[in-house]
Amino acid sequence: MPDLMSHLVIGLILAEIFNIRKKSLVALGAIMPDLIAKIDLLVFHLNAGIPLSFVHFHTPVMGFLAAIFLARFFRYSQVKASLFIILGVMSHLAADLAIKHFSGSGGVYLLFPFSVKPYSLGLIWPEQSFYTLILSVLVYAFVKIVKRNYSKSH
Amino acid sequence: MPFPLLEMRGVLVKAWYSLLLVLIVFLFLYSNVYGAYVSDKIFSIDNYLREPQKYGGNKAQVFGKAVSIGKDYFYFDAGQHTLRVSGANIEKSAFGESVALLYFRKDGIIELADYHNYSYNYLIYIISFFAVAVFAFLFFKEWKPTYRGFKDA
Repeated sequence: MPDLMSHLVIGLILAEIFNIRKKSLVALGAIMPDLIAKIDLLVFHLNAGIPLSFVHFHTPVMGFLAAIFLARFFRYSQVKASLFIILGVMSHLAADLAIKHFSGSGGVYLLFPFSVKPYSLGLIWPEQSFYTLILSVLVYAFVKIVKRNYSKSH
Repeated sequence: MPFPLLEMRGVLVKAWYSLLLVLIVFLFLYSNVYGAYVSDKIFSIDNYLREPQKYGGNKAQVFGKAVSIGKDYFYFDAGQHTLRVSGANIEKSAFGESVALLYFRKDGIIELADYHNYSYNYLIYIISFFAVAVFAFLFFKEWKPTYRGFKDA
């Protein structure tokens, strides 16, 4: 996975591009798949002995359902809240698709629950996500500047 | 809106979210039960170490750290297991972990097929910690927690 900061910034870029007022909902969706899936690590480190895995929340279907369910906790338009969180979740999974693994050994379970075949575009190794972070911060700054200049001139 | 319609809308919303919750719980349990069901039928390090002849002949990527490198072998700490791996063409990762593509032979010997060092990957964990802090700041700038959910701050 790219680091959580890259996911967060990519989510914020999308929130800026689509002019979303509640940016934190997109940001929530952008980090949610990793936060839920990492419960596995917590269980492992605490040696809790719970034979349950949350890794399948890191899939489009589960992310979609969890986003709609989470939207319920916001006193805001349920449709908008769901869409904003879903946008964040999908940006997260799209960014994770870029991560390289040894052939066929890892990736995003795009077709869960119909298939558990992992998919990956194999573009960058996880530690190279520093470049993703730098690039996404630059793009975010660029979008902010363009929007500021646009609103000044109109 | 007339009162019965309002009431009906409330019931429908509750039914919708109940259905959603049931679907999420079902898929969550399905993935876990399916995982438990196939766990002794597919390759895993646990299964391989127990019965190399049955589960050998597979290549798999394993995360961990090369802990000691010998002349023609090294030990790879994969969390729950430390594996003795044939092949010494590995360098320790700097401030991070490694991913090794290992060939698990039927005779119990594990060979290194390929590896990649996630050098300085621990920095990513540190950055990710800050990401959670940045997110919390953004979130509570926009939302205020109440007993009935988050409302506009």
